[in-house]
Amino acid sequence: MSQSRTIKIHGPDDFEGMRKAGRLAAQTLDIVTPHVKPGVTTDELNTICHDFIVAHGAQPAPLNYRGFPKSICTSVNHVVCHGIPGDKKLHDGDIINLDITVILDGWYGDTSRMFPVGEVSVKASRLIDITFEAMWEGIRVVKPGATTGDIGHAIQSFAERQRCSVVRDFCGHGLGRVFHDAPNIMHYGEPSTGHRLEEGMFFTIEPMINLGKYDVKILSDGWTAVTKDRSLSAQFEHSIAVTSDGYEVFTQSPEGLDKPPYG
Amino acid sequence: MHEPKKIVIHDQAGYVGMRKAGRLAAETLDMIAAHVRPGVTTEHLDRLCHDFIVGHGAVPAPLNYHGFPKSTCISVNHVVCHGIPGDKVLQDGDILNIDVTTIVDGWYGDTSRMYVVGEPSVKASRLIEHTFNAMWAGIQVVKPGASVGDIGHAIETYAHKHRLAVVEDFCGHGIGRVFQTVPSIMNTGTPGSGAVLCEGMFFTIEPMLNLGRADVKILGDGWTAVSKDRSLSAQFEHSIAVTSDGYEVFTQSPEGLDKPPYV
Repeated sequence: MSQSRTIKIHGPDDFEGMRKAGRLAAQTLDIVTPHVKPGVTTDELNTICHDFIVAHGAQPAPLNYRGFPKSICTSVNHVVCHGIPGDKKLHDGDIINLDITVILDGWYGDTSRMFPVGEVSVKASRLIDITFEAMWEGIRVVKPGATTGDIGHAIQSFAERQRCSVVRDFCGHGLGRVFHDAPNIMHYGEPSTGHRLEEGMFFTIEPMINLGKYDVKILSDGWTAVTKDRSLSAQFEHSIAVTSDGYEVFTQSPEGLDKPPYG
Repeated sequence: MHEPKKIVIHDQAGYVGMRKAGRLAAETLDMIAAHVRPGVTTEHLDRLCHDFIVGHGAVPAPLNYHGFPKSTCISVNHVVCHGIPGDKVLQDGDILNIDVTTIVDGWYGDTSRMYVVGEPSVKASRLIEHTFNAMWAGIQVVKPGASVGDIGHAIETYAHKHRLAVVEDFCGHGIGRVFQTVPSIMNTGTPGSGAVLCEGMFFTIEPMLNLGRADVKILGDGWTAVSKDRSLSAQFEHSIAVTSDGYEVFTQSPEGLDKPPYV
């Protein structure tokens, strides 16, 4: 059976499915926010999110995905992505990304945010702000007729202007009734290259930005991706749609907890 | 969360697993050859394959894969791939691709061949012959140090020499303990580009060639891909490994039924 490189075009009912799934994923990040503080373990955060998702009649998509052992990804400091929740305790000054994907009525809602633990360094706060802005630089170019290369170019030029680097080894992806699908959304690129966007395409934009170099290595657990130079890394992610005149974000925070500080 | 992008390097146990899965998939295509004749429905062929696979203690991978409703893909005439078996009755002169993927002890064996119903036209026979050769042009460049782009380039060069179009909307894929993973094996490409091949990588090579233009559209069932100009399309597929000095084909026909005529 061939791998499809065609991009699915979704109709109005599909938007409704994604709104529900995206909202639940965003709510999960909202409810876990007050729990991210010094002394809590990443496994405890996993359990809080897992229970919330399941209690709302949904499933956490990462659990058992290609053998992933937990329900969310928790990536602390120099972990770029796919950190596995465990007995690691959070300390004052840590920064952490929590990445949630819920399956609700067959639709996948995928989003992540950064959380500072206690008081974080100026450098870490700056990286978080830059990463949040970089994601939005990418989202704002989305409209029919733009290309996937336009998104990557917007993110890369913003991040590199701030003397940060864009991770190459992971990218955003089409989603909908499946977790990962065409198109791949690179967070770097040349304007006007790649796939042309059309109304009804659904995908994630999820840049990973490093303070140091962009090189990444995978730890022996087969999942945890860290910066090779152990520099700090940050990521934000939204699931979005291309609409007739721009974009719709499915995973906006209902509580307005878009980026730190959260309160 | 992203799909892992790292290409799995398999050990000897992987080769053993893939040989068994690949052999059963190839045996299924051998078994079905005698049943392809005017008057049978594609659903009948699907049922025979399903029963054969299940009778050997294996699972047909397409069934329920991303919602696919049947156990094989059967693509007749201008259907490029992912045709859904149904009550379509085969007629003298039809050509069809039967695409089988078996799961044996957790390993995926994926292969497809062309079949002819009664007497095909000269044009159809020529398309089938060249598609078979194009697949082999791609397989023969596989060895450690070659690149994914080398495979695509070899296929494309062969096809264009014979004035056939290469479908770009679908591609081969990494395989093993999962159905479809990295790397994507495009059927077009530039020499020296893309991932570099290493011993222990497993993937499919599965070019789709059209007599007319390369453009494809997906029918309303969400699966069936047809050539936009309704020109005839053909495909062959093998699951292969990169070995220390070249390649190993996991899905060779035990009966020597490599390509039509099968009598």
